[in-house]
Amino acid sequence: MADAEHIELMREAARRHLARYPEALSLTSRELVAADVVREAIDLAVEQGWFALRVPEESGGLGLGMMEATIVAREVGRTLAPGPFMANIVIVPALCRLSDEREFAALQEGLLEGRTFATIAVRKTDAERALVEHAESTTDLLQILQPNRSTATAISLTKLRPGWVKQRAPFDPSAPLHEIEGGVDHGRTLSLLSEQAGRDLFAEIYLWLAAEGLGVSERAGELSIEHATRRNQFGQAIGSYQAIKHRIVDDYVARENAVALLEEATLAYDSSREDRNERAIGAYAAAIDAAYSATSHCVQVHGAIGFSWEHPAHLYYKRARKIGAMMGDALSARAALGDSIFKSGAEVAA
Amino acid sequence: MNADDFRAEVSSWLSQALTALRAEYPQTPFTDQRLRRSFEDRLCAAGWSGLGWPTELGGRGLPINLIAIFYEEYARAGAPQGVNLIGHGILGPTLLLSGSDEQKRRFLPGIIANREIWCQGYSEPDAGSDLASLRTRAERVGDKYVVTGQKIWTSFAHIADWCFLLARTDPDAPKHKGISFLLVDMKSPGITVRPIRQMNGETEFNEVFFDGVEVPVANLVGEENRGWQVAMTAASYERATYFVPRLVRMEEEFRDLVSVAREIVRDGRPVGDDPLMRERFARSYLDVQALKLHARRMLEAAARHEQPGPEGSFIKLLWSESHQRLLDLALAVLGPEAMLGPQEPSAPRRRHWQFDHLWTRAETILAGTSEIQRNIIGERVLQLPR
Repeated sequence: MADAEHIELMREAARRHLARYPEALSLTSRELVAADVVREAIDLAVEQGWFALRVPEESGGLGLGMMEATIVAREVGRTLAPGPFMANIVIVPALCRLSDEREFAALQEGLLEGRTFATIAVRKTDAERALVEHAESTTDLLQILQPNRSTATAISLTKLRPGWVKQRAPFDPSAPLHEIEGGVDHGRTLSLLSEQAGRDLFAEIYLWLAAEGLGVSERAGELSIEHATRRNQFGQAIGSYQAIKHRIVDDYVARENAVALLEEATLAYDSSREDRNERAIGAYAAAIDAAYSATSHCVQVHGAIGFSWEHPAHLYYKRARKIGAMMGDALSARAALGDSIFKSGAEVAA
Repeated sequence: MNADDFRAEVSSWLSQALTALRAEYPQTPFTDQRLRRSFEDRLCAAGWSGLGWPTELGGRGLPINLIAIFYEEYARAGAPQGVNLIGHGILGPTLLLSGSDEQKRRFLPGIIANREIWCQGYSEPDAGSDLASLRTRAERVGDKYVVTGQKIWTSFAHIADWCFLLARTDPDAPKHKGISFLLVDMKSPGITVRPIRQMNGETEFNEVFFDGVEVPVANLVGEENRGWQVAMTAASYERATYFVPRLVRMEEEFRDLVSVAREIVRDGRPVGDDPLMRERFARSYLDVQALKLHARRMLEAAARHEQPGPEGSFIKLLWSESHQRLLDLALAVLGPEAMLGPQEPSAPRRRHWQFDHLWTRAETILAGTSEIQRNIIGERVLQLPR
């Protein structure tokens, strides 16, 4: 169990190491982040031992919880750091824990030695396009087969081969995007231990993305406040006008709620509480909502410059919506949570 | 005292007291003012008042965690709201912080025993959010103040024995620096009370006219012209007593609404099976969860005797708007049944959803409007320009 000081130290270290982003993405002068910039970010993560965070000590890792992993996720979101972090910090170790399949253990070994890196696609149906990020810096593709919103049934694992991979222009310019042709046919299908294992895998994904979304929303909020304080129109700082001030406050309130919900959710997950799956999806719903609104308001508060490629506001906007595209927006997460409330006894857990 | 034992004692007393109350008033809704006064008197007679107040002043000197437990059990039991909330919740704490020993001795026992009902004379027709611009005048004449002016939205003035008033004692000073805090006997000559009907059909608040009303100087709380500070200091201290019962109540309302949504069938299925309804329930569920987490943190700070900061504004804003969302959902769940008005008796084991819904429209206005709370958060927490 983490203590507050240790968490703060981790946060400060992650922030320091990622401080070069988003400027290092050089996206004011490019349409897409360069592959070598992504490579450097992965090297940084290796150096910091982030890929070992969730690996048990007996397998050569640090044996830390989602509490620690989400600290890193939040800084990744704040800085828009590029790289297949969720796939390798969270999902590969999770699969080793939630499945007996030896292939996952081999993948984890390769990860710890810096030889193999995975990328993921979440597939709801076979007909869906398999869009994956960072195929240029990864060696293995994990396709998570998802019959409904919050659980997985099986995982398809395959080595990435250049012939299958077609580059696509991404919505989020901080992450190269590829389409896998032929999809799940290429993979060897591996199973999870149980239905609960599938839910736990998704809980970890939701927790990571909630934290990343919070980081995005935090930085977007800061940019809005800075601009509203500096920018003068009609003889006063625009942040003194209530419409702008109140919108920024609403984003702050939404974010503080999401932070509280995420902290409780990671606590619930790391202590294997019965409400952990429901808490994870709730935390995600709150965070992605906060991310969408803070980033839209960031563009809006900046006026025309917020709409231009010259200001980073659009990058935060796009990162938030990329996450929502991948795992669902707040509405869909709340729909899943609503199902859970009506199926169980509606006990609002303390 | 052990928390679990205390909780058991509170819950057991409430249970028997409510049983007796229902036997005595079988047809009367818990929103009825006479029933509320009657229950409040019993509560106070049994020693359930002044929970956090010093024992030497008649209080029970309980720590905040036990006070929170009392309010949790009170809300869970669905006990009626009192009519002297202003005396217990605002004037009492104000006197504890700023009153003279004489004033504490004279007035606190009356509140603890519920013998004297209080109303709050703050807002005026031209002074709502901008309260400091108030114009009711208190002119010092010998050993009295003579008060002339008008207050509005004065809850319970129609049944109050006493009123605490903010009035202008120095019209030439800057507006926050010319106000005094006075205690006024509502039986004084020159006071006229006119009830105002509220949106929910109740007449709980009033206009109060002061026409040359004499107030002894001994009834000045704090220093002359320092009334604003007296009023503001007390405002931020009632963190636990204000929010704990409201949050518990909201949680109970949420649970009850889920049950109602399962019972009512429309379009061939229970209302709770509609995915659009479920999404709204999930939104309210997350509201309640977040509020509980924030409240827990606030109570922990209060237990450490930390100075209250702007978190009261944060919670007030969040709670009031979340409560509106929940009661909006309640009307949606009720459907056509929501055509019945708030005074219509509600079905057994059902809440007064329509009454409660209308009352939520006041919750974003009273105790600092949502707009003012947003300004406070924006300016004091986020440092946005004024």
